[in-house]
Amino acid sequence: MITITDLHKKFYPGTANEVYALRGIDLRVNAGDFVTIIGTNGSGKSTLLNAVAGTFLPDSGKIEIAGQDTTYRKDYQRVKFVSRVFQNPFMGTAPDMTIAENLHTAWLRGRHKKPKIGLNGERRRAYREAVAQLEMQLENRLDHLIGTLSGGQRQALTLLMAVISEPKVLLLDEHTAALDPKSAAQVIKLTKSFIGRSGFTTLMVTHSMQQALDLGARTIMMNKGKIIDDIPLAEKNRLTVDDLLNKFAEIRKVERLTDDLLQNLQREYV
Amino acid sequence: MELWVGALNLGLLYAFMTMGMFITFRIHDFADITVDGSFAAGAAMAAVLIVSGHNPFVALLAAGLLGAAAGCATAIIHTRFGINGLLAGILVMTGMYSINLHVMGRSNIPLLNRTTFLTCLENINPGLPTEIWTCIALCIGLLAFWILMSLFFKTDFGISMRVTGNNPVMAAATGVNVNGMKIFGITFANALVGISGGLVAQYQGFADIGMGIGTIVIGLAGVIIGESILRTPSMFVKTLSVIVGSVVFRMMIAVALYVGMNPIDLKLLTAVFVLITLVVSKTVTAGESRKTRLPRLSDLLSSKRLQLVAGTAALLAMIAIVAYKNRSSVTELSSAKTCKIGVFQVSDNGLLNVTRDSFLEEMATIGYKNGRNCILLVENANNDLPTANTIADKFLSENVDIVVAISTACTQIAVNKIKDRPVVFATVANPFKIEAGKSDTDHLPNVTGVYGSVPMDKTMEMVRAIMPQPLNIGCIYDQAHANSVFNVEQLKKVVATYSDVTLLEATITGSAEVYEAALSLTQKGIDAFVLVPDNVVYSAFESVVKAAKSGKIPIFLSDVERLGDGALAALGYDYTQSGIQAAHLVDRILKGENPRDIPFEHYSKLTVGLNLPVAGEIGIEFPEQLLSQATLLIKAPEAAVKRKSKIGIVQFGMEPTVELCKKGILKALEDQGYFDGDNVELIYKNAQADFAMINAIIQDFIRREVDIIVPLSTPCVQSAVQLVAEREKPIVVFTYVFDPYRVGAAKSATDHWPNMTGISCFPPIDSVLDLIAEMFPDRKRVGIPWNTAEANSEAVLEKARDHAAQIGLEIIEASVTNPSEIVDAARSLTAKGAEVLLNPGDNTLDVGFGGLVKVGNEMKIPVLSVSAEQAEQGAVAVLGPDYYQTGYDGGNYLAKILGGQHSASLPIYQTKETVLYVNLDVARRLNLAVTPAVLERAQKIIDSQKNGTGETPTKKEKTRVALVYYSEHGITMEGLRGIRDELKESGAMDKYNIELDEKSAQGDMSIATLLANDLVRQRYDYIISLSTPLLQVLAQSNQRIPHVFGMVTDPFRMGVAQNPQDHLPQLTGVATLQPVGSAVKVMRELFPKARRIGIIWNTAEACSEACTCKAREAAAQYGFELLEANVSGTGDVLDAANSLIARGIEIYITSGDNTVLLATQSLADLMKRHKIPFFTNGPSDVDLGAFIGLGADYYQVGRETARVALRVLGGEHPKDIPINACIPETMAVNLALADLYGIHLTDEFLSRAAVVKRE
Repeated sequence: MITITDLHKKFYPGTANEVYALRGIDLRVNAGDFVTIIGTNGSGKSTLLNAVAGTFLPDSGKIEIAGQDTTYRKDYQRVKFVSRVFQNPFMGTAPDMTIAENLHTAWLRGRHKKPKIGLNGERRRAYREAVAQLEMQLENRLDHLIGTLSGGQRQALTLLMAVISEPKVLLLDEHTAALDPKSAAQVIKLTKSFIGRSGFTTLMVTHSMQQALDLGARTIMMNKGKIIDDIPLAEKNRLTVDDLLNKFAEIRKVERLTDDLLQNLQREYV
Repeated sequence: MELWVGALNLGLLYAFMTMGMFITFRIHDFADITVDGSFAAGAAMAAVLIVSGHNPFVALLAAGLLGAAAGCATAIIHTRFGINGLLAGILVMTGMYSINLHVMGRSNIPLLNRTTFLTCLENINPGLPTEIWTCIALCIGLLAFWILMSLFFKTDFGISMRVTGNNPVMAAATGVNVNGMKIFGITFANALVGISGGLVAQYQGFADIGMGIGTIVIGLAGVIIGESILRTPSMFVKTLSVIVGSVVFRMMIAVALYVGMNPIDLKLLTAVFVLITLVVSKTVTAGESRKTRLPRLSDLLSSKRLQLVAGTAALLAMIAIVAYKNRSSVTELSSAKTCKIGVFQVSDNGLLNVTRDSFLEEMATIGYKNGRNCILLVENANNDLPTANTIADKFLSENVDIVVAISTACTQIAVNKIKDRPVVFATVANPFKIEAGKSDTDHLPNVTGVYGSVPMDKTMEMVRAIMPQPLNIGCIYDQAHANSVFNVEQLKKVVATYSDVTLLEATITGSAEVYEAALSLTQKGIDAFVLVPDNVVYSAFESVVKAAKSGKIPIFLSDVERLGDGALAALGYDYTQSGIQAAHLVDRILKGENPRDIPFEHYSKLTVGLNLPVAGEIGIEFPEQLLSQATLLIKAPEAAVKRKSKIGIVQFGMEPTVELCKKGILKALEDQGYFDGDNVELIYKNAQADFAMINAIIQDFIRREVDIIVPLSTPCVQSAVQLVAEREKPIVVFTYVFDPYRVGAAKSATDHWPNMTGISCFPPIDSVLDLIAEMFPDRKRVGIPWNTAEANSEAVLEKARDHAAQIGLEIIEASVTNPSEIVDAARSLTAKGAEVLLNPGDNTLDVGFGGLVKVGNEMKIPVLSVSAEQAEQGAVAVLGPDYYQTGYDGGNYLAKILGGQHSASLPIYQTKETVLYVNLDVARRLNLAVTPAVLERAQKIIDSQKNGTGETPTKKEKTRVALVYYSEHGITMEGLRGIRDELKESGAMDKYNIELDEKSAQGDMSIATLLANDLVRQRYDYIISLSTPLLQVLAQSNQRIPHVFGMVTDPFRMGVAQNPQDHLPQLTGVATLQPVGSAVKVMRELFPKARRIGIIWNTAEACSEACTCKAREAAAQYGFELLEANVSGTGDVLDAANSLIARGIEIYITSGDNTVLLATQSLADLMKRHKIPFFTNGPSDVDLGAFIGLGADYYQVGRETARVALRVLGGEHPKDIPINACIPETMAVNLALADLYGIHLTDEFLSRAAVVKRE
């Protein structure tokens, strides 16, 4: 479903703020794969997601989604394939419009927005059902403004909106990071059930090692713009959080061994 | 009725624009200023198309397209170039002004008698009155619009648009092209605005370039008001709220006008109303629960909701109360014969005001009295066209019988709106252009009036008569004003008939550009300005004058009113005549004539005004014939009535040498026949050693139009040079200054500023050094401390060094920056081997001379100086300029100038005389001998052993008497005169060899305190003081010097004395109790019915308290009520007076308070204006405007004070002299004012007065 070949991206090249975010990423994700991505801060996880979504265009490399070369397409042009859920629960919904209208907007993703009333009785019924799935008693409040809901409710709705248009790729960018534990748990539960039921190809970035292990069939570890480990399901099932942490520690140790240090050691002992 | 329906219609028409604002402001969160431009664009486009015969609905479509184009431009600038939305809007709006002008081709297009959508509506009118039918049609139309818009926002596209505005990130994430959507939204919104503009133009009957101004405010107000009223989030309700808001806004303005609010306040009201709505709605939102269903009764009763209701109710109540108040004054109609006349003008412009005022006056003269047999409604639209419209509506709803429109814009509106009653216009340049008719006789049946455009041919005739040579003339005008464009066209036509005259034009859009336009024309080489009537240019006329001044370019005007502001000649209409003619037209119509039968009238009276002074300045002579034709001649100000020349004398500090100099000046003047108070007025000011004060004093002299300024001492001369040098007036005659050259007054004695000359008294430093060499042949090293910042000292030192080298003396220098450093500097000089210490006449050294003497005494070193008084302060010898002589020389120059000689012809004169003083006491102390040769030359020898050593002083000992007074008010001056006369006539001046030093505290308590301290420091022998404040400060600071006071109201209350015998030992004097009782008695005599007397006093002044107490007693005695007001400073006096007037005083009496005294003139004017008799205690105040001045005879008081002083001088001790309490009374009456108060003064009464002023 997704094929990324040798992707490079530098932000603010040539200035003091230069950041070499992606240093040659190669990744293949099959249709229906649920991939979690973990890594240290600044490892490029969100950047990778942005690259897939099309928020920016890469310096070099190729991105193919659903067989099409989308490397140079703008974000709103990839929208047909790609849905996102952001970390900020307020970013994904329009606060001064009703729940129904928000869901409808999501449903219109990739479709032509004609000047005719699409939000008719049939659609409303569909939305009612969909919202009922969330088990948050929101199905009776379809005409309330979303701005009146709590963060957890909005994020749940955002997730629902992401899947309602049946995207090819679902991008979840630390979508529970800003929620309280109870809401986070709720949203993870929904995530599991939606994806489990419909089998979307999903890339989920998370800081929570536990989530990384619990969810998905494959976990990717990133560090400094590169993918350093790719753990398949079988191995994942055997791992614990501590194991993952140890892995990171290893990397840090290796990191300490910088080139300068190496040269010094070489001179001393060689 | 028409008022409300009209407001509703306007509201509905503006609703399209408000909807546009809703889209940009609420949906796209974008404050779109483009609307000011797109609204006018729509109007422009629609008007142009309609005039050329197109279908009005096609015209509306085109209007929408032009508006859309504007919006599109803004949107693209904002999204593609990333420029801030507000800025993008401003840029486009500004550009649209030019584009709209191009579209229209002129600034105003009338749409009378054209096919507009209104005419189309009329065609299908089933028979209702026009306005009502229009209203119904509009309501139906808006209903359809509402439904369409609501549905639109519910479509997928509409939802996407809303999402774009609400959460652009999310919108992008759902595949919406955010930028594209924004462009569409703003374009669409401005299309709506354009359509609205087209509709409004057709409705009001014309399109005007200025129509768009303020649209954004109207739009925003509509949106916000609508939102606050209808709050449900349903899309249908939201769109409805927009329409409702627009209507409510217009209704609110109608209410304000109905209630009689001044249209000036409308904008303020708009802001306030919107603010209230916002605030109240915010409080409601904060507490509102998250229900979205319609409110139930229980919700209404909840406190937050109640607030909104209560707030609105309060506002309506306020309006109702104001309305009620106004109604009672408007509905005085009793008889059916009363007619109502509505008069309105477009702006507050001079010409329009003149027309209006003369119209009203003439109406009164003809016999129409407002309130009795007619009602006059006078309104001013303050440059706001929609308001003018609403005023016309108001006139209709008030059922006026006839409408008078002043100015073209109002006439246009009136002609368009009012078909069923007469309209009379005035001050219109060309009524045909606004389609009031085809010719004077063939015009609209209900319209007639007075018009006329300035006859440019006559103007050019006048120009040629004055300047017959080939000419380039320049004209400035505002292209956007139809009138101006028309006038300029006329001018062009006329100029074309002259083969040797060319016309250069400059156009402007606002008054700020006038100056540059004028300058550009002058640079192009015009010979004269010919300005056509143009409101903008005339309002900035001063700029044209300024630009023309340097080139001496004459200005020809059409507005005779402004001739005096700097134009050369004016040819125009007498607009008062216009108002008069209009009044007569109204009269004829009211008497029954049909306006159809009354042809338009032209202005009849042409005025030609000539400005002679300006002609003189430019060097032009008016031909005789023109002069005889002139109806208005501005002449040079007449030779002033022989007034006293004013001379302002300013000194730096209070050194005795300055006083000597001043004496010299005075003597010289007297010798030449000029006496202070008779034919000259001398003003003395002292800068108290404060440099900043000098500037202030000189500025004050300039302000008071002093003829000659006399600065004494270098700092004052410096200041004078800076402030006065390049001018023609005032003249400066300086004296008492060492080196005027160094401070820039002149390059040489003959090469000086033409208005500055004077006397220099450079210290004879050469002679001083020679003297040192003579007196102390063994002492070769001379130490000189001086302040390097003093220019005068610098000059002296230069000379000193030169001369010292020549005669073999060595000069050692030390610099000081202030007097406290002198001691150290002197010591350092002695340490370096100085054998003589010398003060070169440095001001700093003068102040701290004691320090130099101290060191001299310590080290037994002789100290010399060039400043005469320092001989008594410890210098062993002083050789300096004769300050008295330098003053005398200065006085001579003054006399010459007063006699007519010009200062430019008087070279700077150096006083040659010097004085030598020797102090033998000091010489003895230092064991120094002084040769007889030197002593012989000395003018003064100080020797306490004079009798013993056989050396007699060549001059007698003087008695130094200080005569001090608080302010220069009239009564004080009277007292001073009394003192001086008594001292002179009694022979005391010579007998005691009195040296009288007069000082004024200039009305300032802090200066009084400084003065008092200074008197003690200077160790005067005797002090005479006038007025209470000085007694107060002197009583505190002086315990030793015998002090005689005068003109003090109540010394007992001040703690100075218990009773006449028991008083402080060092002082005595004359107390003058104000004859308040007599004054009140006179009041009762002259005004038997009066009840309330007002009095103002400063609670800090003891004398005022005494006086007020007496006033209270007297008031009670004669059956008056005394109303008091307190002040703490002179600035508060007028406010206090106004408050008393508001409390209903009928008579005012002064409290003799020094603070209030300084405001006597203003008080007198105020009382005169309110016809309140003003009683004072100063008979001389009658000259300032008081009615009766009943007071002590201050001249006599002065003489009495002097008599007491002489007793003290004669040897009596003050403690033995009881305080003299005398009240000689004298009354002065201002007869001319008696008529003002409506009373007659009997001869018997007048005989009691010492002075009766008749004119």
